[in-house]
Amino acid sequence: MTTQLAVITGAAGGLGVPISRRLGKAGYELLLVDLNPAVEDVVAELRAEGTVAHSCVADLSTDSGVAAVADAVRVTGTPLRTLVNNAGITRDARVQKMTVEQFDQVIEVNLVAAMRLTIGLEELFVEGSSVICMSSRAALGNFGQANYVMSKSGLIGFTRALAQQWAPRVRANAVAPGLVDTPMTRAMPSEVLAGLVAKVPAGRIGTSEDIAAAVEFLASDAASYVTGQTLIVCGGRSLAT
Amino acid sequence: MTSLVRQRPCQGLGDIAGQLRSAFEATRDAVAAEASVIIVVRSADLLGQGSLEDAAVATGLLGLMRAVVFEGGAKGWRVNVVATVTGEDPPSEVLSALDLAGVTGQVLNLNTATVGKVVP
Repeated sequence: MTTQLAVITGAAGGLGVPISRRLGKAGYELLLVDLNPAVEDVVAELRAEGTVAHSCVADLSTDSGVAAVADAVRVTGTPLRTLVNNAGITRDARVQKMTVEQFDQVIEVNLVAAMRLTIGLEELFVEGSSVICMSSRAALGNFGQANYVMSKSGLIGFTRALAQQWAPRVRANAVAPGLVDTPMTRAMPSEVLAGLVAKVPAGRIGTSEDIAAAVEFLASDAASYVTGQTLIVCGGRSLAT
Repeated sequence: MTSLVRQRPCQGLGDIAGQLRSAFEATRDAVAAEASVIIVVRSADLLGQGSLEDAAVATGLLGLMRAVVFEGGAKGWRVNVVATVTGEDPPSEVLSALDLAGVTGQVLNLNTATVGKVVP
């Protein structure tokens, strides 16, 4: 394919790296965005694998951060085809103990910043582009994560509205990962993790590759008739008891 | 006792966090006082048929209901979402029926124009 650009936020994080690697192998030129300067190391890794990749250290909670990403897109000179809104944080607490700071931080980073960046890049998307918002199966409810659940559920609404407002030039979809093998899940007590896995009809924990594959599909022309949808990648957990 | 938490028209990106936070705080305080909560949203916003911001808030409020019931449903916290055509308050008969039924964690859509669309 003609070289096209994919922007991935939260690119230094647990899912950001495998998503970036997968899109790089699919032939995209990459602009990896993160607040964490470690994103430079990810870019170096991917370049060593043959992917054309650039980094942008930016705070997406600010207009200047969004402007920095837009400038970085322009500097590449490559048409912007895909945006993956992957940046996210958790600040867990029970409903009655959650502080204003915990609440606001998660809503700002997971929801508002993703919206701010998407809107800020609007004019740069080429015909047939795809925006993918990383939601979560937790959008259906989770313990001690009201802020996170609300942010990931809000992303689904944003995705639905974006799909209708920017159609047919840009498609928008969300991916909602379920239980995935990450450093966070590996830190759980083994019996707790085993209990969670036992509730997954697929009979195993998800991998970051499972999620990256869903992102690649939604970014691709194979999904050219798919927009406004949320793909729950959870091994069937969202249906089981 | 039933407490209504209402979606307001969003004034832009800068209004999203504040609106979600005030709804969270109102819901938290209501369940602590053993009141049931009805979150009222505009049904079209659940489908993203309005502004980007209103869609994010409406579905964020849906998440609020689910998170609170996930955590406190077993101890009697009762929170439901009622989606109305314009975000107007549901008829009192609907509120009474929900109260009598004792349900929690549900979405009741009163906008028949959304029949045939995705379930929020």
